[in-house]
Amino acid sequence: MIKILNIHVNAMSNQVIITSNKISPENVTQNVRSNSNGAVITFLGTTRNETKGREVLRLEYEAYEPMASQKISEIISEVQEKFSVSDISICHRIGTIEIGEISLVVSVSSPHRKDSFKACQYVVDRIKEIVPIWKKEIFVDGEEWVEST
Amino acid sequence: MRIHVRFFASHKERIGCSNLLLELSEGSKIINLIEKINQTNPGFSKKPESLVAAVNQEYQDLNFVLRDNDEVAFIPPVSGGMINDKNFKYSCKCHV
Repeated sequence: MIKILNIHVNAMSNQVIITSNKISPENVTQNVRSNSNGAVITFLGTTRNETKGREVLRLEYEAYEPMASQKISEIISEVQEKFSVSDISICHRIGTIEIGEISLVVSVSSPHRKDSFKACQYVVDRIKEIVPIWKKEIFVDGEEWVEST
Repeated sequence: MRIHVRFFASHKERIGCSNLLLELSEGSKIINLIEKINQTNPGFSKKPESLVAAVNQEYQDLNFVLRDNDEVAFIPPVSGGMINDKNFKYSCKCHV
């Protein structure tokens, strides 16, 4: 069972979840499906076992939760203004995440596939730009916050 | 006036705590708050102008004037990262 720490649902069936539990991509995807849509794109962000040749043991994510939920909701509004998409469902996991597990799921639906492809990439890029969620890589021989400076 | 300060990720580790409650004079800006934090935690920021801050969960310029009981969060660069890029500054303005 997923523990939902924070959830916003607006007039459309958009959903934002920040959780410390494992994410079900099927549930996130199901949330945006409807008979008026011809396309659903689901992106999974998964944890990688190496960074620049260093073996990664696991990742730890930390969020400024109320602001993170709010910024993700703003991204959804932004995308729905920019692209002809229907519903968007986003689930970000925080806390300790083992290698190969899912840290982020973004599902977008639209009547036509091109809009969903473009919108999904846009959503993921924007999450990485403005949402206050940080990732720490735990290596065999140390640990580092991932920061682009 | 009292300002609630929040630190995350690398900032939190550098400062050694996640929350501070600081007293500042009326009319102080975010940049004045950074100076105050640097007085007691000299390692916090050698380049204050490169810090990103949010007041009550909205990104703000460092010249933003604070009010009593504001919550100021210092936002380290996020994981995927373009937070210090021009694109980010631009997107910041969209939300202000």
